[in-house]
Amino acid sequence: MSLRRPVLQNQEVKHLPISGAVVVPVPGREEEVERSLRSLPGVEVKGRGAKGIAVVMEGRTTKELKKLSERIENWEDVVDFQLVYLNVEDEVE
Amino acid sequence: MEISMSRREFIKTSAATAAMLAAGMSAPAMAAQGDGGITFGRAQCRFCGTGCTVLVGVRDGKVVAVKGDANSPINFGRLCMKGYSLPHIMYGGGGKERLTRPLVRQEDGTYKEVSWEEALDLIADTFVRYIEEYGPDSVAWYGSGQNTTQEAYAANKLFKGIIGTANVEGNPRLCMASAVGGYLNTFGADEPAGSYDDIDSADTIFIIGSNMAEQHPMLFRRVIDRKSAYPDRVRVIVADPRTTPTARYADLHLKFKPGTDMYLLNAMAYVIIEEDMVDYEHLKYCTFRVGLGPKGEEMDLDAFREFLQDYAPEKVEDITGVDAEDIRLAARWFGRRGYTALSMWTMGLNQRTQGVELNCQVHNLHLLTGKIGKPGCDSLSLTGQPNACGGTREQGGLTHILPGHRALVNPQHRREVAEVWGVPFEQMPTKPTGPAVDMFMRLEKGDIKAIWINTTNPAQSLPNCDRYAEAMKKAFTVVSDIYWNRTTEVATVVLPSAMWVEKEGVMGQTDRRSQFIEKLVEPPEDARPDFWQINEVARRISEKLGRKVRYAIRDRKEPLKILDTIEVYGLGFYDDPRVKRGEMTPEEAAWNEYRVLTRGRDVDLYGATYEKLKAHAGGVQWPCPSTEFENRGSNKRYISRDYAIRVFGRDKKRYATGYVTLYDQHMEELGYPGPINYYGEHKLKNTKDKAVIRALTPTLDYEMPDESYPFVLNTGRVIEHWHTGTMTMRVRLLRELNPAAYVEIHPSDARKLGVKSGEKIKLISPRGSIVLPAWVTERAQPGMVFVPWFDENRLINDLTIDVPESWSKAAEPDYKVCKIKVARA
Repeated sequence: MSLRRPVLQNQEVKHLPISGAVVVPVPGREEEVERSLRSLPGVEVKGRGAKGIAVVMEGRTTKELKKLSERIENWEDVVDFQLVYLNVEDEVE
Repeated sequence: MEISMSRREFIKTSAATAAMLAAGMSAPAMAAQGDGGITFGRAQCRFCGTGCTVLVGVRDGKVVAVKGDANSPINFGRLCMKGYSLPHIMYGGGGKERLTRPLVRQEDGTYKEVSWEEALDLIADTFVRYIEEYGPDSVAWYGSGQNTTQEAYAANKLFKGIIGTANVEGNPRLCMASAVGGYLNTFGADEPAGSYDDIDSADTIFIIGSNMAEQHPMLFRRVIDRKSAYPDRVRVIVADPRTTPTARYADLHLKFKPGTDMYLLNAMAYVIIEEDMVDYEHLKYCTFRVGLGPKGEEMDLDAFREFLQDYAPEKVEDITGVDAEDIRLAARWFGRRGYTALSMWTMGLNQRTQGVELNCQVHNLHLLTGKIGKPGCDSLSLTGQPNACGGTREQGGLTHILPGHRALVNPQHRREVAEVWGVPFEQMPTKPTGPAVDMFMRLEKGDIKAIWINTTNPAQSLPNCDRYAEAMKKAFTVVSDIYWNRTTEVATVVLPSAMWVEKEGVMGQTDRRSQFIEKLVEPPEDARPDFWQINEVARRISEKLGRKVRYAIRDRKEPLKILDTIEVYGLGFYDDPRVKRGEMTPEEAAWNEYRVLTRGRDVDLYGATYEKLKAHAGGVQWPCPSTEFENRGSNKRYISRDYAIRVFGRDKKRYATGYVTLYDQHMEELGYPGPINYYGEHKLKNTKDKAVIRALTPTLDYEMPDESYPFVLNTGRVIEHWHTGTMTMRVRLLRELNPAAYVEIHPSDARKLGVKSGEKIKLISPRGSIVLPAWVTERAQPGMVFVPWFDENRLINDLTIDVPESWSKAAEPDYKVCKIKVARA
């Protein structure tokens, strides 16, 4: 056991994190946003509800998921992107 | 381990279900025990003071997933990026970086692994030796707003009850003390009247000294929701010297010069009076006083108006750097009749020389306009840590307070606590010793010989931190923590702690809310809960001192009912026969005893049974005197007379104060008359049932820039990291997003220095210096730089101020305005 301050180690990423999210489109632009989401690799559209579009996303790392989220959030037709579920078990093992 | 397809599909179904529910769709029901082998339990997020409710997924004894609890009245199923990193914080470095064995420093500076027995005996022997030789004030406890309430309560009982010292402090002193001072000076009682629910009906949202979008993101999401639903009605005002993401979202950003916000707030009060936005009816329930404290000279509205003449917006715009018209607009939005107003703030007001005054000035605006005690109206101080309110403010985890908002100097309060603790009244300390930084000064002087630091990292977080790290290294310093950090490396004894869902406990947040954290997994190897550690040390110390405790075995639902008493060494919780039989946990025994000490107090948590806390997402909000299962307390501590009439259909003479507490309402309905007050008790004359509007003459922070040190240094947190980064820097995603400290510097200053983003600059204060890469950005303002404090390799707190003159009236240090000079490195 090292008694010096531990050197932070990068963890090997072996598998794919999975997240669930709600994408909130600009009113009147729901169709377009849904169509755009369906065209994104790693994104599955699960349906549309009163509060937004439910999606499931997969990426190689949580960082990749984060980038994908930011990309969607920055679309002009998107008001908000809300992450509601994240499974990272491969990264913590 | 590979994820099989069936398992992968299960996880995707879980993610889809959460997303569909949050999107407002119906989704296939998911059993709590999924066939994918993940079992979900409920907890509160480990990070900030918002207290988001989370569902934690466990498989094979490991936390593997997390999701927001859709049933939570706080976050409604959402979480921020730190919240989603919760599983990672437990397994830093693939789990290899957790502290797992007690360590004792050897003469050559290396550490030796020892057994728990050896470590605990060493601690108890050393503490007792010092107590006997130098008296009880030679030992000390420095806890945390991240301790569970049971841990904080156990430590309080050990130090104040058994040892008899008031050397009990914690990092909330660096965080929330000024807010406490503000509430006490204005209302006579600590903590806010309203709750997060007020965000959902607020028309004007005034955020000052807080970067909510990054530091309380789930609450800020509620601000966005409210603004999005009523874009024309809702106005968001942000007062901040930095252009933070919160400020960028605002309808109006008041970018004042650092240290000048007392002028700004007086100017807003001036406009409210000058433009007749005062609620005169409400002023019947207020009184005006000059200055802070119990001796303020009484004044009236006319005198207050006269006092404010020097602070007309046009007179203060040069001082504050804010256009007079912007100040007027802010005041108009705040005071507009027929609209609600909610204020929120954090460290930008609290960590200031004038922290208490600034808090009172915000309260002033609400009292003048009557925008308090009604839905959508409150003066709501946000907390920074997950249990600063519960474990410290309510439980009495500082030198001058006792459980249940009691004062140490009050003999009756001491007597009540000694009775419940089962210790002799004479054994209790009678006077506070000193606040946090003072405690470390006494450690440096050698007056304090031994200190136990628990769940906090003062060698990085104290102002002028290197000075006190040296003091810790020289003293007998015990540190309980989960990872090696700046404070463990100066410890004499390091105790490996269980964290978050590796143990159970209760935590209390901003809006008088207490939530239960369920134990879901075992701690690694020999790591043990802090509550256990404290109880073990207490047993040894009380035995060595020969001081027994008369422990009351209490009814679990109605702990006022004492079933039996036993005389024990230690705190008693592990000696409860039901604990020994495995029928209840020792943490529940401690919680039930604590509930008794809140009974009949404003912070009444008597009704917060374990059964309720476990069952209800979002927990219980005090006042909650009733143990009835469905009673979860109140989202309004005090409600307005009009609201009472509307909701309860009646008005009584006793409501002549204009306010009635829901606590009293409940009690009355139960046939118990109870006192009816406006907030707490002031020591001032003629203030019964009244709140106090304070006329406060602006002062600047202790250390303003001068010719030698022409810049202001402002410090704070960033979205990716929490406090000293002990946990979040071990999350790869967060570490990669923000790997190291930097300096935000304004483009105009960068041009003068000839530096570009990424180039190094040197910051020098009267106490120390540091070299950091520059981030040239308009987030800063000319003459002010900002540096985050999460980076243990670049300690910005080597530069911050520790002298008592810089502390607020509540002894909170000033981390926001410190003079420095800046040079190319």
